[in-house]
Amino acid sequence: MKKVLVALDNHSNYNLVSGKGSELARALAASIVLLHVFPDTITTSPNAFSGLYPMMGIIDIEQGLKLAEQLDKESKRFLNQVKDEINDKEAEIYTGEGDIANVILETAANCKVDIIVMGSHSRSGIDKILMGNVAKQVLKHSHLPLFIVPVK
Amino acid sequence: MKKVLIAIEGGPLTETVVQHGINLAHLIEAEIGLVYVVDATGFMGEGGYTIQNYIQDSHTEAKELFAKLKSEFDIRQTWNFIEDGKLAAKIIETAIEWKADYIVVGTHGRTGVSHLLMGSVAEHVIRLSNIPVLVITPEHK
Repeated sequence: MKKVLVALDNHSNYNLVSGKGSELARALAASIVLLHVFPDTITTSPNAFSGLYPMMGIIDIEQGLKLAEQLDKESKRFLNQVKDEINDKEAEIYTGEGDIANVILETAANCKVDIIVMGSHSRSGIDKILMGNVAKQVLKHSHLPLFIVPVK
Repeated sequence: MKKVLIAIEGGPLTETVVQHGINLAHLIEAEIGLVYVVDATGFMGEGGYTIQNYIQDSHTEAKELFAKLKSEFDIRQTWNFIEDGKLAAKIIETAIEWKADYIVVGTHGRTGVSHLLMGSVAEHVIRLSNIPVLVITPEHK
């Protein structure tokens, strides 16, 4: 059976990506792997400063781990919500921490997916620079077909 | 009826791109469009070979390629577009005018030095597009 990886972020229009992703999966008669990546909580990564987690940056390890646990829970809750929205009880759920492009590529390899679906993240301002790089990075390193959904 | 626009560049990835495009079109029962953009930007005339010669030859090449792909992949009907201009911008323009639902594009084109300088055509298409883009990458990098 074919597998489609749908990588989601917290963009308010994430449902465009999950919608198109599940549509594609249905056409392919493929199963769905939903992925949400949250920023690295311990090291300072550029992601840590993007919109949603403005206060994160350099923090101590214990705090970082606690925060990671919390973010992981939130990610899982988000993905379960998406699972309901796309009405796919069989969808697998994965969360990851750190560099978004890396986690997407790793998950794609581990789950042996056939295609990656993600948003183009054409946001404004600083997020456009940071997030636009995600699709670019995945594009650069992936040997799988990528299905890029415009998110504006 | 949905429409899938496949961007053809004539590079080594062409057949893989077309195969994926056709697969997608068949899955969603869509019409197939092929677009070949003749980009003469940066063309340097050599001897008697002018930019007009280049454009003319490219158009012939595109028509031959369309015919070859059509028979090779046994596609019943396609919409063929041969356009002059900047690669990514023309692909997008064609998609809008033809009212495409999806664009299929490969990452390796013939853009040579401009690829290094300006990023790939696929990246530009993604940035400019208002519809989903299926990007086909070479299997081994």
